[in-house]
Amino acid sequence: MNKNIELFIKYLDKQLTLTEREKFEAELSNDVDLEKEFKQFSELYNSTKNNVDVDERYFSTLLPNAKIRIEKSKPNYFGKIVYALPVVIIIMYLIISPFTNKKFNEKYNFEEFTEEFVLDENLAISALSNAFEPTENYTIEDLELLEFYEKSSTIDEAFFDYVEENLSFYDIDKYILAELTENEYVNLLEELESNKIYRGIK
Amino acid sequence: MEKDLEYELIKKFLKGNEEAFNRLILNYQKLIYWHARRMVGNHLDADEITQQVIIVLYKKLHSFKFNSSVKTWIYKITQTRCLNLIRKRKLRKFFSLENSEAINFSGNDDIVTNYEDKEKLERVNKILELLPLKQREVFVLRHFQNLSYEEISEITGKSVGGLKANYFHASKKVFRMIKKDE
Repeated sequence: MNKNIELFIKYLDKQLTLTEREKFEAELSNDVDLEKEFKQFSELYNSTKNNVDVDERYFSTLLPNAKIRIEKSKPNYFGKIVYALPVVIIIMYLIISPFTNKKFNEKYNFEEFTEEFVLDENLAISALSNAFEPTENYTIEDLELLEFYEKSSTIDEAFFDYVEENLSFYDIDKYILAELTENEYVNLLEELESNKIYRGIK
Repeated sequence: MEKDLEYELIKKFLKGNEEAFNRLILNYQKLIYWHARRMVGNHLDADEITQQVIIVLYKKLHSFKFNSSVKTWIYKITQTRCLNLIRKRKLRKFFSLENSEAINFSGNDDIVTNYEDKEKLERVNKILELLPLKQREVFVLRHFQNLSYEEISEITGKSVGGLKANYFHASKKVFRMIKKDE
């Protein structure tokens, strides 16, 4: 039986040589039992192939459904730009900020800082009006300024009072900054930088 | 469908003709579905694979090499997805505490509505599931899809000799199981 099954499979699978095939077909026509056995085998074996009734409507929905998914998966360039824009801005900021912060990094170039600081009067006002109250970190050595401070509640108020009565913006900044110690100056810069006041972001 | 006509449809689609793509898919969708169905054993997974194959074809037709056969290329894409799903399923079974039967598809949502047909299909699926993957692969492609060993070799990347041996062993097992089932 086993030998016959192997032969049947090879015959149905067209894997017999021409000679083997002819020999098998001759045997089939001469041997009734073998023929019956082969018929049974091929019927049973091919029964797996039998077609089944299916709901054909399914196949008409396949392509449209896949197309919907294709449409959904298509890249949304506008959406990508919306997401990419903040990333680009952040990257640009990170690239550019070391240069824009140059003045903060060059902490000891008083002259340059002062000049830039006073170029924009509004910026200077905004920076000073958002400034901090003097602490032990900020000692005011200028007596005239100290007088103004004693009458004012905050250092910026004192600055403006002082400016109004005495100096131009350029002078006051240069003067005040020149009065600060190195540490005070560095602290002032860091404060301005951390508050982003100087760059007008806040 | 003629090879030249298929090439023509692909070229038209690549130039922006959607209708050409539709014609190509309508010609192959049943082959894709039934191959997937016999490989994975249920409608829902076969449906998902068929849709995935259509999507892949839509996106990758530009990379089709015109010296090869569209049919074997499509079968190859389908076969890869079937094998991936079967492997995933095996992993799920391996790591899951649920019994393996619970993972199998219950069969309520199906395009085969006739009860007898459904039973027949179930019986064949159970037999196919008992075959080792390599044998199931060649058996499905040869027995149900009537592909030549050369085509199967192109799809699976296996030697014709090895495929013939696998098909022979698979056939013997299938026959014995059907007889036992009778």
